[in-house]
Amino acid sequence: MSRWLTQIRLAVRSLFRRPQVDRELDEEFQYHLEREIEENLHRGLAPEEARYAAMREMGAIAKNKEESRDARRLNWIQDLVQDLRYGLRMLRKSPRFTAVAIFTLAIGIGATTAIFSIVDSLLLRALPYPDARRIVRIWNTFSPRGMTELTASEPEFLEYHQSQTLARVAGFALGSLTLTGRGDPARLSVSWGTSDFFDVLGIQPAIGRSFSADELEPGNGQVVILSHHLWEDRFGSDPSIIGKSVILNGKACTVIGIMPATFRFPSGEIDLWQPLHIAANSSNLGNHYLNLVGDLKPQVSLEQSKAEMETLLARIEQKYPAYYSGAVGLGVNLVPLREQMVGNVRPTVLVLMAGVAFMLLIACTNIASLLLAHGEVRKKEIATRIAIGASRARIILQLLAENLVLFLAGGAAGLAVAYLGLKLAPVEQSLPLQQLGTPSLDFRVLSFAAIICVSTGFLFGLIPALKTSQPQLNEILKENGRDAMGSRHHVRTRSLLVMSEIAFSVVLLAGAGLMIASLMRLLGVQLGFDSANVVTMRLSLPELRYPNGRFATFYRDFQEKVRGIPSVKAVAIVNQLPMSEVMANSSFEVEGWQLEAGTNIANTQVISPDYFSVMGIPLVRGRALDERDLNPAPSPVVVNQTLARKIWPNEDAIGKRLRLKADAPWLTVVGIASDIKNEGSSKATKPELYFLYTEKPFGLWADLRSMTLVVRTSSEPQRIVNAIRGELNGLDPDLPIYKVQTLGEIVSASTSQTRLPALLLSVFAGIALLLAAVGVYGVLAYTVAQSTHEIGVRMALGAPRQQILKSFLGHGIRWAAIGGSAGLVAAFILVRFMRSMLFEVRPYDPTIFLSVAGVLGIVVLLACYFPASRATRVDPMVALRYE
Amino acid sequence: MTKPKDLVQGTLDLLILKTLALEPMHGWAIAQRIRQISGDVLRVGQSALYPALHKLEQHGWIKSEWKISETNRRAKYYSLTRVGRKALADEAENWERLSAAISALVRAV
Repeated sequence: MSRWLTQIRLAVRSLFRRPQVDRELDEEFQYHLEREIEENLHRGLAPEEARYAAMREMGAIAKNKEESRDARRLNWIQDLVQDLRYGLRMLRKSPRFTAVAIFTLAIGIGATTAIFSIVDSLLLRALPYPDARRIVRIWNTFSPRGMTELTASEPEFLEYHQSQTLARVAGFALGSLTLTGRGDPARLSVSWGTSDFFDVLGIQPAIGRSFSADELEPGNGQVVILSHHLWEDRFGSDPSIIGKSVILNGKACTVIGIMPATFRFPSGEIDLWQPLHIAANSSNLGNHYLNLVGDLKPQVSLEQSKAEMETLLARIEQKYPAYYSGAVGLGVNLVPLREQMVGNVRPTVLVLMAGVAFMLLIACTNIASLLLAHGEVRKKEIATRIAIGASRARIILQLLAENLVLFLAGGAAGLAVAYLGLKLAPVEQSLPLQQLGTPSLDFRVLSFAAIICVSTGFLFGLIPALKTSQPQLNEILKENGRDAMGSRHHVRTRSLLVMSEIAFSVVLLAGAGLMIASLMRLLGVQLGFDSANVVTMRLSLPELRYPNGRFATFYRDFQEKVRGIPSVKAVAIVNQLPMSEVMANSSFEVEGWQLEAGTNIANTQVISPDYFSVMGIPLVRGRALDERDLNPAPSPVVVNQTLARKIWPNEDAIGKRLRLKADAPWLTVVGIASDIKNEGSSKATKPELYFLYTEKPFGLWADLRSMTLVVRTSSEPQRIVNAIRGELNGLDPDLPIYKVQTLGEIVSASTSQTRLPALLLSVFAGIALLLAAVGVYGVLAYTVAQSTHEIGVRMALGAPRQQILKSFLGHGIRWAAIGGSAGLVAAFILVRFMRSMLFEVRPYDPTIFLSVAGVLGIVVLLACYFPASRATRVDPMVALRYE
Repeated sequence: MTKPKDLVQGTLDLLILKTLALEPMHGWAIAQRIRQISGDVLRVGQSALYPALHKLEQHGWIKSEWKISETNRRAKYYSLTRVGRKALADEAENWERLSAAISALVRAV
């Protein structure tokens, strides 16, 4: 124990009282020297001789002192502080080197930090629910049609609710409501949840309470819980709102709670939660509107629970054999909550992380190469330090500390890059950050950046430090160091670094190439409609004020008013826009066909007569629907080409009849519309039916109070929106319009899943290529400078300039060939992880790999040309005189 | 500049500890004593001596204090600590074993 105390005392002493310790060392050596002299005098040497002999015996005093100090092994803190200070001074002394290095590092570390913050918020950070790992979404599946996320009906929910493997099962429905009486009317997203909804997630309101058992009874549901963002935006964060009422769809509802800001279930877009009552004896089999969520009991695995749920499904199938007979192949799937949220973007995010890591590697490799070159400049300084007694370890530590200063400065600048990057990159629209929280430079991300700085600083600073500190004292001190073996050696190391940079760039280029090709294919897809100059907006009529028999009239009047606005060319309404998230569909029967129910499925579009002309969808045959078709009901239908081809492959579809179900009227096909990419550019077109908008479209289950207005205009979209708002105000001031978008925006958003990785990987690959080119240029320029003498000799002996140029370009070609091949092999291995992100492009597309090789070759040759041509301009006379 | 070539690594520590076991001494006296007792065979240069002394002190095996020397000047005296005494016993035993083994080997071959 006392020994430790002694050691600590000594350590502290030599750390904080260094001058005194140094004085004592001096005194100790001085004493020794004097005794040695006395001894020599005693032996009869002359005074001068005695002194000289003693000095010789003592050896290099300075070195001994350094060693004695090192023996104490406690100077490292002091040394570190000193080294860091020294490092800063060195960086200031070579501002150009410092600026290039910090800039390079800032981009590398900044981009890596930005992407990491996205990875962190999507994949790593714990979800804001206490036992999030046990929370699962429950979906029905229907394998015959490849459907994996089907919502459930009430009887199914009631059956699943009896699960023994799930602690709780809650159902919730999604929709929207209109808030009035507080400024402009607003359309709000709402989630109606059953009794266990908040308990499954383990979160209670931050202020107020959740629904009481009483409020979950039918007819008592006039209560509402607000989301934190709605409370902030609409209610000024006023806590006294609790207990007051707000008007939703014309009904007064009491605010009973406010959720915490982190609660974003089922998505960050939800503004309100309301109770959902499901009668214990419900037999409403046909309405599949329930989303399900549950939490696994402890010790229960996902598979066990899935197996149990399938037995529950089998039980309900037996209970209602008539209903389920046509649906052989139904199943249940449980999806962990995080998987549900990020499952489809996980590969994208991981590929981006890998891409940015490659870029960081290239940046760091470049720095290592720069440091090696920089070390050459400082050879003499270091050799001198070694000569006066610094150990190699000490020099290495010092160089490492200097590098650390550099990397930390680069990291600090990188944080600014990360901040800007997160602001500028269109990440919000392409990644499901809504559910999980926006990435920010929080403590976790900052720690990551710090770790990256220190570890890359150490790793990539170590090789240069080792090389630079290699003592070749004699050679270095003796002459000017030109052409010393050491520098040849450095060039070899640097060529290796350059080749690895080239290899990394090739991997990134291949990734970027594949994404760009995918994006081009995606953008090149013929959508089948004209997205230019079309504005869309949605509105919903509250049932209270627009009972049956009233709402179709409203939409007709409204369209009439909008048609009157100057610069409006055409107006229509539709129940679902192309590329909207979920498409309503329905099964149908064909006259004269004996087919199993449920075989024929079509998307169901309900449109007003001008829809085809607003959207620019050509009719292939027959005619569009028009006002005359409203009477007599039932009106005819228009089908798309895919449906016509599938159902009547060898016949004319015009005049054929179909119906939605057995008890619905027959409808006659009067026209065939050209196919459009209704579900997104990358999806195949499905069979589609177009119905004329009426209040009761013959057996179609659809909420026709909520419709989307589509307007083709010849003027600036925003101005039109304001004019439309004005017209609506004249008809009904309490109706909000929402989801105002141009059709162009909708189309572009639908490709954002490909656009984001294409954009980011291209940026990374571009920077990588630039860095590699700089690296190639730097090393070759250095080699040329080092060989000035040799070039001079060769020229003096009559070597043609052409040959000199070739011999230096040869370096570059060798680097490109070796690094490039290594990179192509690595890319070949890695691109298969991108398979799910590609669209109509094979991961091993030879054109792309060839283009990558071509681009790389051109860039490397360009980077080599300038230093190589400088070599040919060497004047032999000057070069030789330089000797 | 170099350590005495005929001193096996680590033996210097033993020599210093052994020398100090008699009485507290300053650095120069330690060197002298080692030289005398070994009959001029072992000569410890200060380039090896002082780093070794400082290392031993850092280990806590010896401690130092400034005293007036026999020539009436201030000198740094080193003496064994209790831990040092134990270490000396261990080191000495190690040495005995090692040297016995080596001489056995040298004689046998």
